[in-house]
Amino acid sequence: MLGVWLFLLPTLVFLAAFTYLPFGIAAWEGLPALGSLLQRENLNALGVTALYTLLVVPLSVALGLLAALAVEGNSRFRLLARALIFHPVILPTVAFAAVFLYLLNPLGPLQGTLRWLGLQNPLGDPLGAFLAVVLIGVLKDMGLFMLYYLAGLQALPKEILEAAKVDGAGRTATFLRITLPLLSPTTFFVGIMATLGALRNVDHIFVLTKGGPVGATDHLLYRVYTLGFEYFDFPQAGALTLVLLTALTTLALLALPRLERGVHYDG
Amino acid sequence: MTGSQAISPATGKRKPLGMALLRNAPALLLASPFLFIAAFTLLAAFTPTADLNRGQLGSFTLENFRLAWESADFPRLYANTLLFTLGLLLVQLFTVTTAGFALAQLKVRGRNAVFYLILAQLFLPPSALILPNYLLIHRLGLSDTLTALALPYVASATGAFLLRQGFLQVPRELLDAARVDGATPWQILYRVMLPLVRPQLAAFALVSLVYHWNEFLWPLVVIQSREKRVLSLGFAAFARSAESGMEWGLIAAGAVLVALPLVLGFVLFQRAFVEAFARSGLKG
Repeated sequence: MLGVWLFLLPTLVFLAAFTYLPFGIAAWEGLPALGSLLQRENLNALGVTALYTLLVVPLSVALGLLAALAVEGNSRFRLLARALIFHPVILPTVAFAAVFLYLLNPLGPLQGTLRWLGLQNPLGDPLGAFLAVVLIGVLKDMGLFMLYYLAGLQALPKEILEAAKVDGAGRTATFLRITLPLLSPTTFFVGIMATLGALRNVDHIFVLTKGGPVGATDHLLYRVYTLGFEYFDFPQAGALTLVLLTALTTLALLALPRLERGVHYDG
Repeated sequence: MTGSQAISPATGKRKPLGMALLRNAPALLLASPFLFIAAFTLLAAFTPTADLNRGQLGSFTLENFRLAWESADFPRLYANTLLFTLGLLLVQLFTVTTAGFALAQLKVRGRNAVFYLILAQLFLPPSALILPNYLLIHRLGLSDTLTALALPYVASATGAFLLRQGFLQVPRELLDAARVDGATPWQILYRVMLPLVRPQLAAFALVSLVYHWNEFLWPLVVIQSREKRVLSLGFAAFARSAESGMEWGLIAAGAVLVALPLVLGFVLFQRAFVEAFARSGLKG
Protein backbone atom coordinates (compact mmCIF):
# COMPACT_ATOMS: atom_id res chain seq x y z
CA MET A 1 0.00 0.00 0.00
CA LEU A 2 2.90 2.30 0.76
CA GLY A 3 3.96 1.85 -2.86
CA VAL A 4 0.77 3.50 -4.08
CA TRP A 5 1.43 6.61 -2.04
CA LEU A 6 5.01 6.78 -3.25
CA PHE A 7 3.75 6.78 -6.82
CA LEU A 8 1.42 9.66 -5.98
CA LEU A 9 4.12 11.66 -4.27
CA PRO A 10 5.50 13.68 -7.22
CA THR A 11 2.03 14.80 -8.26
CA LEU A 12 0.90 15.67 -4.74
CA VAL A 13 4.11 17.56 -3.94
CA PHE A 14 3.82 19.70 -7.06
CA LEU A 15 0.13 20.28 -6.56
CA ALA A 16 0.83 21.37 -3.00
CA ALA A 17 3.59 23.73 -4.12
CA PHE A 18 1.85 25.28 -7.13
CA THR A 19 -1.86 25.00 -6.41
CA TYR A 20 -2.70 24.74 -2.71
CA LEU A 21 0.16 26.85 -1.35
CA PRO A 22 -0.44 29.66 -3.90
CA PHE A 23 -4.08 29.71 -2.84
CA GLY A 24 -2.79 30.37 0.67
CA ILE A 25 -0.36 33.01 -0.54
CA ALA A 26 -3.16 34.80 -2.40
CA ALA A 27 -5.21 34.82 0.79
CA TRP A 28 -2.23 36.05 2.84
CA GLU A 29 -1.53 38.87 0.38
CA GLY A 30 -5.10 39.69 -0.50
CA LEU A 31 -7.17 39.40 2.67
CA PRO A 32 -5.88 42.59 4.29
CA ALA A 33 -6.64 44.49 1.07
CA LEU A 34 -10.18 43.19 0.60
CA GLY A 35 -11.46 46.69 1.39
CA SER A 36 -9.73 48.07 -1.71
CA LEU A 37 -12.00 45.90 -3.85
CA LEU A 38 -14.75 48.47 -3.63
CA GLN A 39 -12.91 50.87 -5.92
CA ARG A 40 -14.68 51.76 -9.11
CA GLU A 41 -12.07 50.09 -11.37
CA ASN A 42 -12.32 46.80 -9.51
CA LEU A 43 -16.10 46.78 -9.58
CA ASN A 44 -15.89 47.57 -13.28
CA ALA A 45 -13.55 44.60 -13.82
CA LEU A 46 -15.98 42.36 -11.94
CA GLY A 47 -18.84 43.56 -14.14
CA VAL A 48 -16.85 43.16 -17.36
CA THR A 49 -15.84 39.61 -16.38
CA ALA A 50 -19.40 38.65 -15.44
CA LEU A 51 -20.83 40.06 -18.68
CA TYR A 52 -18.05 38.50 -20.76
CA THR A 53 -18.65 35.08 -19.19
CA LEU A 54 -22.43 35.38 -19.53
CA LEU A 55 -22.03 36.06 -23.26
CA VAL A 56 -19.12 33.81 -24.22
CA VAL A 57 -20.28 30.65 -22.42
CA PRO A 58 -23.78 30.27 -23.92
CA LEU A 59 -22.67 31.53 -27.34
CA SER A 60 -19.69 29.22 -27.68
CA VAL A 61 -21.57 26.20 -26.30
CA ALA A 62 -24.62 26.77 -28.53
CA LEU A 63 -22.48 27.38 -31.61
CA GLY A 64 -20.38 24.33 -30.75
CA LEU A 65 -23.54 22.21 -30.66
CA LEU A 66 -24.87 23.78 -33.84
CA ALA A 67 -21.54 23.15 -35.57
CA ALA A 68 -21.48 19.53 -34.40
CA LEU A 69 -24.97 18.96 -35.82
CA ALA A 70 -23.97 20.63 -39.07
CA VAL A 71 -20.69 18.77 -39.62
CA GLU A 72 -21.82 15.31 -38.54
CA GLY A 73 -21.16 12.88 -41.33
CA ASN A 74 -18.23 12.35 -43.62
CA SER A 75 -18.81 14.32 -46.80
CA ARG A 76 -15.77 16.19 -48.06
CA PHE A 77 -17.45 19.50 -47.26
CA ARG A 78 -18.17 18.48 -43.69
CA LEU A 79 -14.62 17.30 -43.06
CA LEU A 80 -13.36 20.59 -44.46
CA ALA A 81 -15.82 22.58 -42.32
CA ARG A 82 -14.76 20.56 -39.27
CA ALA A 83 -11.09 21.36 -39.84
CA LEU A 84 -11.83 25.05 -40.42
CA ILE A 85 -13.94 25.42 -37.28
CA PHE A 86 -11.45 23.47 -35.17
CA HIS A 87 -8.27 25.18 -36.36
CA PRO A 88 -8.29 28.19 -33.98
CA VAL A 89 -8.19 25.74 -31.05
CA ILE A 90 -4.58 24.88 -31.84
CA LEU A 91 -3.51 28.47 -32.61
CA PRO A 92 -1.95 30.64 -29.92
CA THR A 93 -4.66 33.07 -28.81
CA VAL A 94 -2.20 35.94 -29.24
CA ALA A 95 -1.70 35.06 -32.92
CA PHE A 96 -5.42 34.56 -33.54
CA ALA A 97 -6.17 37.89 -31.87
CA ALA A 98 -3.40 39.71 -33.75
CA VAL A 99 -5.12 38.82 -37.02
CA PHE A 100 -8.15 40.72 -35.75
CA LEU A 101 -5.98 43.82 -35.33
CA TYR A 102 -5.68 43.73 -39.09
CA LEU A 103 -9.25 42.64 -39.86
CA LEU A 104 -10.80 45.29 -37.60
CA ASN A 105 -8.52 48.22 -38.37
CA PRO A 106 -10.39 51.17 -39.91
CA LEU A 107 -8.69 50.59 -43.28
CA GLY A 108 -8.95 46.81 -43.15
CA PRO A 109 -10.92 44.35 -45.24
CA LEU A 110 -14.03 44.69 -43.07
CA GLN A 111 -14.29 48.46 -43.26
CA GLY A 112 -17.45 48.40 -45.41
CA THR A 113 -19.29 46.04 -43.08
CA LEU A 114 -18.07 47.87 -39.99
CA ARG A 115 -19.16 51.24 -41.31
CA TRP A 116 -22.55 49.76 -42.13
CA LEU A 117 -22.78 48.53 -38.53
CA GLY A 118 -21.81 51.97 -37.27
CA LEU A 119 -18.56 50.61 -35.80
CA GLN A 120 -15.96 52.18 -38.01
CA ASN A 121 -13.15 51.68 -35.50
CA PRO A 122 -14.50 48.98 -33.17
CA LEU A 123 -11.35 48.72 -31.07
CA GLY A 124 -11.54 52.43 -30.26
CA ASP A 125 -15.12 52.15 -29.08
CA PRO A 126 -16.03 50.60 -25.69
CA LEU A 127 -18.93 48.53 -27.01
CA GLY A 128 -17.11 47.57 -30.21
CA ALA A 129 -13.98 46.51 -28.34
CA PHE A 130 -15.98 44.45 -25.85
CA LEU A 131 -17.87 42.73 -28.68
CA ALA A 132 -14.60 42.04 -30.51
CA VAL A 133 -13.15 40.39 -27.41
CA VAL A 134 -16.34 38.31 -26.99
CA LEU A 135 -16.24 37.34 -30.67
CA ILE A 136 -12.66 36.09 -30.41
CA GLY A 137 -13.46 34.21 -27.21
CA VAL A 138 -16.31 32.43 -28.99
CA LEU A 139 -14.50 31.71 -32.27
CA LYS A 140 -11.41 30.42 -30.47
CA ASP A 141 -13.20 27.75 -28.44
CA MET A 142 -16.32 26.69 -30.32
CA GLY A 143 -14.33 24.17 -32.38
CA LEU A 144 -13.31 22.34 -29.22
CA PHE A 145 -16.90 22.22 -28.02
CA MET A 146 -18.00 21.02 -31.46
CA LEU A 147 -15.60 18.11 -30.95
CA TYR A 148 -17.09 17.14 -27.58
CA TYR A 149 -20.59 17.36 -29.04
CA LEU A 150 -19.58 15.22 -32.03
CA ALA A 151 -18.40 12.58 -29.56
CA GLY A 152 -21.65 12.98 -27.62
CA LEU A 153 -23.76 12.64 -30.77
CA GLN A 154 -21.95 9.46 -31.75
CA ALA A 155 -22.67 7.94 -28.36
CA LEU A 156 -26.44 8.54 -28.63
CA PRO A 157 -28.46 5.32 -28.53
CA LYS A 158 -29.64 4.89 -32.11
CA GLU A 159 -32.68 2.76 -31.12
CA ILE A 160 -34.30 5.66 -29.29
CA LEU A 161 -33.90 7.96 -32.27
CA GLU A 162 -35.26 5.24 -34.56
CA ALA A 163 -38.22 4.68 -32.24
CA ALA A 164 -39.00 8.40 -32.31
CA LYS A 165 -38.99 8.34 -36.09
CA VAL A 166 -41.31 5.32 -36.17
CA ASP A 167 -43.63 7.19 -33.83
CA GLY A 168 -43.72 9.97 -36.38
CA ALA A 169 -41.84 12.63 -34.38
CA GLY A 170 -40.58 15.48 -36.53
CA ARG A 171 -36.95 16.59 -36.64
CA THR A 172 -37.49 19.55 -34.33
CA ALA A 173 -39.45 17.52 -31.81
CA THR A 174 -36.88 14.72 -31.88
CA PHE A 175 -34.09 17.20 -31.34
CA LEU A 176 -35.77 19.12 -28.51
CA ARG A 177 -37.34 16.17 -26.70
CA ILE A 178 -34.75 13.44 -27.23
CA THR A 179 -31.37 14.51 -28.60
CA LEU A 180 -30.92 17.59 -26.44
CA PRO A 181 -31.86 15.90 -23.12
CA LEU A 182 -29.66 12.90 -23.95
CA LEU A 183 -26.77 15.28 -24.64
CA SER A 184 -27.15 17.02 -21.30
CA PRO A 185 -24.09 15.37 -19.67
CA THR A 186 -22.03 16.67 -22.61
CA THR A 187 -23.63 20.09 -22.31
CA PHE A 188 -22.87 20.19 -18.61
CA PHE A 189 -19.25 19.23 -19.15
CA VAL A 190 -18.81 21.64 -22.07
CA GLY A 191 -20.45 24.41 -20.06
CA ILE A 192 -17.94 23.91 -17.25
CA MET A 193 -15.04 23.95 -19.71
CA ALA A 194 -16.42 27.11 -21.32
CA THR A 195 -16.84 28.88 -17.98
CA LEU A 196 -13.32 27.95 -16.89
CA GLY A 197 -12.03 29.20 -20.24
CA ALA A 198 -13.91 32.49 -20.00
CA LEU A 199 -12.47 33.11 -16.54
CA ARG A 200 -8.87 32.25 -17.36
CA ASN A 201 -8.02 32.99 -20.98
CA VAL A 202 -7.31 36.71 -21.37
CA ASP A 203 -4.45 36.47 -23.88
CA HIS A 204 -6.45 38.20 -26.61
CA ILE A 205 -7.04 41.21 -24.35
CA PHE A 206 -3.27 41.78 -24.14
CA VAL A 207 -2.98 41.98 -27.91
CA LEU A 208 -6.24 43.60 -28.86
CA THR A 209 -7.45 46.11 -26.29
CA LYS A 210 -5.24 46.11 -23.15
CA GLY A 211 -8.37 46.37 -21.04
CA GLY A 212 -9.57 49.52 -22.77
CA PRO A 213 -11.01 51.67 -24.05
CA VAL A 214 -12.10 53.17 -20.71
CA GLY A 215 -12.01 49.79 -19.01
CA ALA A 216 -14.55 48.20 -21.35
CA THR A 217 -12.51 45.00 -21.66
CA ASP A 218 -10.79 45.09 -18.26
CA HIS A 219 -11.27 41.40 -17.41
CA LEU A 220 -10.58 40.42 -13.78
CA LEU A 221 -7.49 38.39 -14.66
CA TYR A 222 -6.18 41.16 -16.91
CA ARG A 223 -6.57 43.56 -14.00
CA VAL A 224 -4.76 41.14 -11.69
CA TYR A 225 -1.89 41.30 -14.18
CA THR A 226 -1.80 45.09 -14.49
CA LEU A 227 -2.13 45.65 -10.74
CA GLY A 228 0.44 43.03 -9.84
CA PHE A 229 3.03 43.36 -12.56
CA GLU A 230 2.72 46.92 -13.80
CA TYR A 231 1.87 48.75 -10.56
CA PHE A 232 3.37 46.13 -8.20
CA ASP A 233 0.32 46.51 -5.98
CA PHE A 234 0.49 42.95 -4.67
CA PRO A 235 -2.16 43.36 -1.94
CA GLN A 236 -4.81 44.62 -4.34
CA ALA A 237 -3.85 42.10 -7.03
CA GLY A 238 -3.99 39.43 -4.32
CA ALA A 239 -7.45 40.54 -3.26
CA LEU A 240 -8.66 40.32 -6.86
CA THR A 241 -7.02 36.91 -7.22
CA LEU A 242 -9.02 35.83 -4.18
CA VAL A 243 -12.24 36.94 -5.86
CA LEU A 244 -11.33 34.89 -8.92
CA LEU A 245 -10.40 31.87 -6.81
CA THR A 246 -13.65 32.16 -4.88
CA ALA A 247 -15.59 32.10 -8.15
CA LEU A 248 -13.61 29.08 -9.35
CA THR A 249 -14.01 27.21 -6.05
CA THR A 250 -17.75 27.86 -6.08
CA LEU A 251 -17.88 26.52 -9.62
CA ALA A 252 -15.95 23.43 -8.52
CA LEU A 253 -18.19 22.78 -5.52
CA LEU A 254 -21.31 23.12 -7.66
CA ALA A 255 -19.94 21.07 -10.53
CA LEU A 256 -17.92 18.25 -8.95
CA PRO A 257 -20.76 16.13 -7.56
CA ARG A 258 -22.67 16.27 -10.83
CA LEU A 259 -19.56 15.88 -12.91
CA GLU A 260 -18.71 12.71 -11.07
CA ARG A 261 -22.18 11.29 -11.55
CA GLY A 262 -22.28 12.07 -15.25
CA VAL A 263 -18.71 11.13 -16.04
CA HIS A 264 -17.43 7.61 -15.83
CA TYR A 265 -13.80 7.48 -14.82
CA ASP A 266 -14.13 3.75 -14.46
CA GLY A 267 -14.92 3.38 -18.15
CA MET B 1 -30.20 17.62 -38.94
CA THR B 2 -30.06 14.68 -36.58
CA GLY B 3 -32.38 13.03 -39.03
CA SER B 4 -29.62 12.97 -41.61
CA GLN B 5 -29.30 9.24 -40.97
CA ALA B 6 -32.51 8.95 -42.94
CA ILE B 7 -30.68 9.79 -46.12
CA SER B 8 -29.02 6.62 -47.28
CA PRO B 9 -25.29 6.97 -46.66
CA ALA B 10 -22.78 6.94 -49.50
CA THR B 11 -24.55 5.13 -52.28
CA GLY B 12 -21.33 5.32 -54.22
CA LYS B 13 -22.90 7.38 -56.97
CA ARG B 14 -21.48 10.85 -57.57
CA LYS B 15 -24.01 13.50 -56.58
CA PRO B 16 -24.30 16.74 -58.55
CA LEU B 17 -22.21 19.48 -56.92
CA GLY B 18 -25.17 21.81 -56.46
CA MET B 19 -27.08 19.25 -54.40
CA ALA B 20 -24.00 18.48 -52.31
CA LEU B 21 -23.46 22.16 -51.60
CA LEU B 22 -27.09 22.57 -50.61
CA ARG B 23 -27.07 19.59 -48.29
CA ASN B 24 -23.88 20.83 -46.64
CA ALA B 25 -24.99 24.45 -46.52
CA PRO B 26 -25.24 24.66 -42.70
CA ALA B 27 -21.74 23.23 -42.27
CA LEU B 28 -20.30 25.58 -44.88
CA LEU B 29 -22.17 28.56 -43.45
CA LEU B 30 -20.76 27.95 -39.97
CA ALA B 31 -17.28 27.38 -41.35
CA SER B 32 -17.28 30.50 -43.56
CA PRO B 33 -16.13 33.02 -40.91
CA PHE B 34 -13.20 30.72 -40.16
CA LEU B 35 -12.37 30.42 -43.83
CA PHE B 36 -12.58 34.19 -44.15
CA ILE B 37 -10.18 34.74 -41.23
CA ALA B 38 -7.69 32.12 -42.39
CA ALA B 39 -7.81 33.33 -46.00
CA PHE B 40 -7.24 36.96 -45.06
CA THR B 41 -4.38 36.06 -42.75
CA LEU B 42 -2.64 34.19 -45.55
CA LEU B 43 -3.41 36.89 -48.13
CA ALA B 44 -2.11 39.62 -45.85
CA ALA B 45 1.03 37.65 -45.03
CA PHE B 46 1.98 37.52 -48.71
CA THR B 47 0.93 41.09 -49.61
CA PRO B 48 3.25 44.11 -49.37
CA THR B 49 2.25 46.23 -46.34
CA ALA B 50 2.02 49.38 -48.46
CA ASP B 51 -0.66 47.67 -50.57
CA LEU B 52 -2.55 46.51 -47.47
CA ASN B 53 -2.70 50.04 -46.15
CA ARG B 54 -4.26 51.15 -49.41
CA GLY B 55 -6.76 48.30 -49.13
CA GLN B 56 -5.24 46.44 -52.09
CA LEU B 57 -4.65 42.73 -52.24
CA GLY B 58 -3.19 40.70 -55.03
CA SER B 59 0.50 41.39 -55.40
CA PHE B 60 2.74 38.71 -53.97
CA THR B 61 5.80 39.08 -51.75
CA LEU B 62 7.86 37.04 -49.30
CA GLU B 63 9.31 40.21 -47.81
CA ASN B 64 6.92 40.12 -44.81
CA PHE B 65 8.26 36.73 -43.77
CA ARG B 66 11.87 37.84 -44.13
CA LEU B 67 11.30 40.96 -42.01
CA ALA B 68 9.21 39.15 -39.41
CA TRP B 69 11.76 36.34 -39.17
CA GLU B 70 14.56 38.82 -38.54
CA SER B 71 12.86 41.29 -36.25
CA ALA B 72 11.30 38.76 -33.87
CA ASP B 73 14.32 36.43 -33.60
CA PHE B 74 12.22 33.41 -34.54
CA PRO B 75 15.02 30.79 -34.40
CA ARG B 76 15.57 31.55 -30.73
CA LEU B 77 11.83 31.69 -30.01
CA TYR B 78 11.29 28.30 -31.63
CA ALA B 79 14.28 26.84 -29.74
CA ASN B 80 13.11 28.16 -26.35
CA THR B 81 9.56 27.00 -26.94
CA LEU B 82 10.74 23.54 -27.99
CA LEU B 83 13.01 23.28 -24.95
CA PHE B 84 10.22 24.36 -22.59
CA THR B 85 7.44 22.23 -24.08
CA LEU B 86 9.51 19.06 -24.61
CA GLY B 87 11.34 19.34 -21.29
CA LEU B 88 8.06 19.80 -19.47
CA LEU B 89 6.45 16.94 -21.40
CA LEU B 90 9.26 14.58 -20.41
CA VAL B 91 8.75 15.32 -16.71
CA GLN B 92 4.97 15.17 -17.09
CA LEU B 93 5.08 11.75 -18.74
CA PHE B 94 6.73 10.50 -15.56
CA THR B 95 4.37 12.23 -13.10
CA VAL B 96 1.12 11.41 -14.92
CA THR B 97 2.13 7.77 -15.36
CA THR B 98 3.01 7.25 -11.72
CA ALA B 99 -0.03 9.20 -10.52
CA GLY B 100 -2.37 7.44 -12.93
CA PHE B 101 -1.00 4.06 -11.86
CA ALA B 102 -1.49 4.91 -8.19
CA LEU B 103 -5.00 6.28 -8.74
CA ALA B 104 -5.99 3.12 -10.60
CA GLN B 105 -4.88 1.01 -7.62
CA LEU B 106 -6.30 3.14 -4.82
CA LYS B 107 -8.98 1.24 -3.01
CA VAL B 108 -8.36 2.47 0.49
CA ARG B 109 -10.29 4.92 2.55
CA GLY B 110 -9.28 8.45 1.69
CA ARG B 111 -9.48 7.67 -1.99
CA ASN B 112 -12.16 10.30 -2.55
CA ALA B 113 -10.11 12.89 -0.70
CA VAL B 114 -7.15 12.18 -2.99
CA PHE B 115 -9.38 12.43 -6.05
CA TYR B 116 -10.71 15.79 -4.95
CA LEU B 117 -7.24 17.06 -4.07
CA ILE B 118 -6.11 16.31 -7.60
CA LEU B 119 -9.33 17.41 -9.31
CA ALA B 120 -8.97 20.78 -7.58
CA GLN B 121 -6.28 21.64 -10.11
CA LEU B 122 -8.80 21.50 -12.95
CA PHE B 123 -10.73 24.31 -11.33
CA LEU B 124 -7.77 26.29 -10.02
CA PRO B 125 -5.72 26.59 -13.22
CA PRO B 126 -2.21 28.05 -13.00
CA SER B 127 -3.30 31.07 -15.05
CA ALA B 128 -5.60 32.14 -12.21
CA LEU B 129 -2.67 31.80 -9.80
CA ILE B 130 -0.14 33.97 -11.67
CA LEU B 131 0.33 36.36 -8.75
CA PRO B 132 1.00 33.89 -5.90
CA ASN B 133 2.91 31.56 -8.23
CA TYR B 134 5.13 34.44 -9.27
CA LEU B 135 5.78 35.43 -5.65
CA LEU B 136 6.76 31.83 -4.98
CA ILE B 137 9.03 31.54 -8.03
CA HIS B 138 10.63 34.83 -7.12
CA ARG B 139 11.26 33.65 -3.54
CA LEU B 140 12.86 30.49 -4.94
CA GLY B 141 15.18 32.66 -7.03
CA LEU B 142 13.89 31.10 -10.25
CA SER B 143 12.32 34.05 -12.02
CA ASP B 144 13.41 34.56 -15.62
CA THR B 145 14.13 30.87 -16.19
CA LEU B 146 12.49 28.33 -18.48
CA THR B 147 12.33 25.95 -15.50
CA ALA B 148 9.99 28.36 -13.74
CA LEU B 149 7.69 28.24 -16.76
CA ALA B 150 7.28 24.50 -16.33
CA LEU B 151 6.96 24.13 -12.55
CA PRO B 152 3.22 24.89 -12.15
CA TYR B 153 2.44 22.28 -14.83
CA VAL B 154 4.58 19.39 -13.58
CA ALA B 155 1.58 17.84 -11.84
CA SER B 156 -1.32 17.45 -14.26
CA ALA B 157 -4.77 16.42 -13.06
CA THR B 158 -5.97 15.89 -16.63
CA GLY B 159 -3.02 13.64 -17.33
CA ALA B 160 -3.34 11.70 -14.09
CA PHE B 161 -7.00 10.92 -14.73
CA LEU B 162 -6.40 10.14 -18.40
CA LEU B 163 -3.72 7.61 -17.46
CA ARG B 164 -5.81 6.20 -14.63
CA GLN B 165 -8.45 5.51 -17.25
CA GLY B 166 -5.90 3.67 -19.34
CA PHE B 167 -4.57 1.59 -16.44
CA LEU B 168 -8.08 0.58 -15.39
CA GLN B 169 -8.61 -0.97 -18.82
CA VAL B 170 -5.65 -3.33 -18.36
CA PRO B 171 -6.97 -6.84 -17.65
CA ARG B 172 -6.59 -7.93 -14.00
CA GLU B 173 -5.22 -11.35 -14.96
CA LEU B 174 -2.21 -9.72 -16.56
CA LEU B 175 -1.36 -7.97 -13.30
CA ASP B 176 -1.95 -11.05 -11.19
CA ALA B 177 0.27 -13.10 -13.46
CA ALA B 178 3.06 -10.54 -13.17
CA ARG B 179 2.67 -10.47 -9.39
CA VAL B 180 2.81 -14.26 -9.15
CA ASP B 181 6.02 -14.10 -11.12
CA GLY B 182 7.38 -11.89 -8.37
CA ALA B 183 7.50 -8.57 -10.22
CA THR B 184 7.82 -5.41 -8.09
CA PRO B 185 5.23 -2.61 -8.59
CA TRP B 186 7.89 -0.68 -10.48
CA GLN B 187 8.52 -3.58 -12.86
CA ILE B 188 4.79 -4.11 -13.33
CA LEU B 189 4.40 -0.48 -14.24
CA TYR B 190 7.27 -0.30 -16.71
CA ARG B 191 7.33 -3.76 -18.25
CA VAL B 192 3.66 -4.71 -18.27
CA MET B 193 1.49 -1.62 -18.05
CA LEU B 194 3.34 1.12 -19.88
CA PRO B 195 3.12 -0.44 -23.34
CA LEU B 196 -0.63 -0.79 -22.83
CA VAL B 197 -1.32 2.88 -22.09
CA ARG B 198 0.53 4.24 -25.11
CA PRO B 199 -2.64 5.71 -26.66
CA GLN B 200 -3.38 7.66 -23.46
CA LEU B 201 0.20 8.88 -23.24
CA ALA B 202 0.11 9.98 -26.87
CA ALA B 203 -3.17 11.83 -26.35
CA PHE B 204 -1.81 13.56 -23.29
CA ALA B 205 1.43 14.46 -25.09
CA LEU B 206 -0.40 16.14 -27.96
CA VAL B 207 -2.64 18.18 -25.70
CA SER B 208 0.25 19.19 -23.45
CA LEU B 209 2.37 20.25 -26.43
CA VAL B 210 -0.40 22.34 -27.97
CA TYR B 211 -1.34 23.96 -24.68
CA HIS B 212 2.18 24.92 -23.68
CA TRP B 213 3.31 25.84 -27.18
CA ASN B 214 0.56 28.48 -27.13
CA GLU B 215 0.98 29.57 -23.55
CA PHE B 216 1.26 33.34 -23.04
CA LEU B 217 0.23 34.75 -19.66
CA TRP B 218 2.55 32.80 -17.36
CA PRO B 219 5.62 33.36 -19.59
CA LEU B 220 4.70 37.04 -19.69
CA VAL B 221 4.89 37.12 -15.90
CA VAL B 222 7.99 34.98 -15.42
CA ILE B 223 10.30 35.83 -18.33
CA GLN B 224 11.99 39.21 -18.39
CA SER B 225 14.99 38.86 -20.67
CA ARG B 226 14.67 38.86 -24.42
CA GLU B 227 16.81 35.77 -24.88
CA LYS B 228 14.47 33.61 -22.83
CA ARG B 229 11.23 34.56 -24.53
CA VAL B 230 8.99 31.83 -25.89
CA LEU B 231 7.08 32.00 -29.15
CA SER B 232 3.78 33.57 -28.08
CA LEU B 233 5.59 36.08 -25.88
CA GLY B 234 8.02 37.13 -28.60
CA PHE B 235 5.21 37.35 -31.11
CA ALA B 236 3.03 39.52 -28.86
CA ALA B 237 5.87 42.01 -28.36
CA PHE B 238 6.55 41.97 -32.08
CA ALA B 239 2.86 42.43 -32.98
CA ARG B 240 2.64 45.43 -30.64
CA SER B 241 5.53 47.22 -32.32
CA ALA B 242 4.34 46.27 -35.80
CA GLU B 243 0.85 47.51 -34.98
CA SER B 244 2.08 50.97 -34.10
CA GLY B 245 3.59 51.17 -37.59
CA MET B 246 0.47 49.63 -39.16
CA GLU B 247 2.69 46.86 -40.52
CA TRP B 248 -0.23 44.49 -41.12
CA GLY B 249 1.73 42.31 -43.49
CA LEU B 250 4.35 41.71 -40.82
CA ILE B 251 1.74 40.87 -38.18
CA ALA B 252 0.08 38.38 -40.50
CA ALA B 253 3.39 36.80 -41.51
CA GLY B 254 4.41 36.57 -37.86
CA ALA B 255 1.09 34.96 -36.95
CA VAL B 256 1.60 32.40 -39.70
CA LEU B 257 5.12 31.65 -38.45
CA VAL B 258 3.86 31.18 -34.87
CA ALA B 259 0.98 28.95 -35.92
CA LEU B 260 2.80 27.00 -38.63
CA PRO B 261 4.37 24.15 -36.63
CA LEU B 262 1.11 23.19 -34.95
CA VAL B 263 -1.00 23.70 -38.08
CA LEU B 264 1.38 21.44 -40.03
CA GLY B 265 1.19 18.91 -37.22
CA PHE B 266 -2.58 19.20 -37.30
CA VAL B 267 -2.72 18.58 -41.04
CA LEU B 268 -0.39 15.58 -40.77
CA PHE B 269 -1.97 14.00 -37.70
CA GLN B 270 -5.53 15.29 -37.96
CA ARG B 271 -7.16 12.14 -36.67
CA ALA B 272 -4.75 11.82 -33.73
CA PHE B 273 -5.21 15.50 -32.86
CA VAL B 274 -8.97 15.26 -32.84
CA GLU B 275 -8.96 12.08 -30.76
CA ALA B 276 -6.44 13.54 -28.35
CA PHE B 277 -8.63 16.55 -27.72
CA ALA B 278 -11.70 14.41 -27.29
CA ARG B 279 -9.81 12.23 -24.79
CA SER B 280 -8.26 15.12 -22.92
CA GLY B 281 -11.54 16.02 -21.29
CA LEU B 282 -12.70 14.20 -18.21
CA LYS B 283 -15.06 12.29 -20.42
CA GLY B 284 -14.47 8.95 -21.99
